[in-house]
Amino acid sequence: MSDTDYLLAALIMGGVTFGLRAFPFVARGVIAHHHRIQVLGRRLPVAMMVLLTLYAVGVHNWSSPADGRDQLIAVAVVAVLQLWRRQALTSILAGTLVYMALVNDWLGL
Amino acid sequence: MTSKRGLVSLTLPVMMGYLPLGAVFGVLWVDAGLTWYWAPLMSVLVYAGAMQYLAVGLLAAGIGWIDLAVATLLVNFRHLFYGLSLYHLLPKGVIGRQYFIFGITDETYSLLSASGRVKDSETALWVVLLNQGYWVLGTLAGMVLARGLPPGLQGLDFALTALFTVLAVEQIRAKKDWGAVALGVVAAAVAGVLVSDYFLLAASIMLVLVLLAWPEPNTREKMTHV
Repeated sequence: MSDTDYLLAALIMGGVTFGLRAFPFVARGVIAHHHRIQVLGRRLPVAMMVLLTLYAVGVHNWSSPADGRDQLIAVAVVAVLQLWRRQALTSILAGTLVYMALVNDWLGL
Repeated sequence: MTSKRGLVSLTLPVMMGYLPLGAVFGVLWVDAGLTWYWAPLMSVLVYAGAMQYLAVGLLAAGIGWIDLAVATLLVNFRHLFYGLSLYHLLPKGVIGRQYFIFGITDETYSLLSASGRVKDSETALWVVLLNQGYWVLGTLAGMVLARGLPPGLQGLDFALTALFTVLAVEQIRAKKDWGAVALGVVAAAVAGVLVSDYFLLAASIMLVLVLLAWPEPNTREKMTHV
C-alpha cells in the first residue's frame, strides 16, 4: 500500500466514525424519536459483537480450522474472566497469553 | 475546571486500558508488515479501538474502500447514540466542538456520561485529549515493543478476538437479548457457508435488514389496534 492508500484508509475510517459520533448532535430528534433506529440501536450492537467475535475466530474460513481447539479454549477463558471480574484488560491479556501458550506449545500440551 | 492532578486521576482507568491496548495495536500493525509510521497516524486520525484492530487484518488483506467504509459503519454503529447524553458538555468553540465529537470513544463516553464528575465542557475537552494521548502513546510503545519480540512468535493477533469477546460479553450482559445473539450466530453461519469472501459485509447487511424488518412488540401492538 502507498502512503496515499493509507491516508485514504484513515480518512474513510475516521470520516465514517466521526459521522456516527456527530450525528446525534446535528439530528437529535431523528435518533430520539425514530422507532426503527431505536430498535436498531438496541439490538444491532449485540448481534454485531457476536458476529465480530465469530469473524475473529475465523468461521469464514472453515476449510482450514488449524487451531480451532486453541481458539475455543482461549475465547472461553476471556468470556469467563469477563463475566467474573469485568476487567476488560485482564480478560484480553489473560486470554491472549493462554492462546499464545497453546499455539506456541509453551506447555507441551 | 478540574485541576491537572484531578484530570489525571479522573482519566486513570482509561489510561490503564489505553496504554496496553494501544500497544497491542502498535504490535499488531508492525507485525502485519504494514508501513510502521501509519500506526500512530491511525491512532491520531481514526481513534477507534476495535476498528483499528480489525483494520490491521483488513488492510493487510487488501480490502476495498467501500467494504472498509461499511465495516467501519457497522463496527462503530453504537457510537451513533453516544452524543445524546453528552449534549451539555459540548464546547462552544468550533474546533473544540469538532474535536470533542471526534474523541467520543466507548471509554470516554462512559467516563463523561456515567461518572457525574465532569460538569463543564472545558474539563470534558481535556478528558478527550488526555485519553487520546494515552492511546497514541500506547501505540508508539507497541511499535517499539514489536521490534523486540522473538521471531516466529505466534498468536498475538488473538487480542482482536479477545477484544470482541469482551465487547460481546458486555453487550449480552447489558441487554440480555438472546434473539439478537442468535441472529448474530445465524448470520455468521449463513455468510460463512455462502459468501466467505464477503463474509463481514454480507453478514452485517443481513443483520441490519432482519432487524429493520423484524416485528417489534411495540409495532405489533400498534398494528393490532389499527
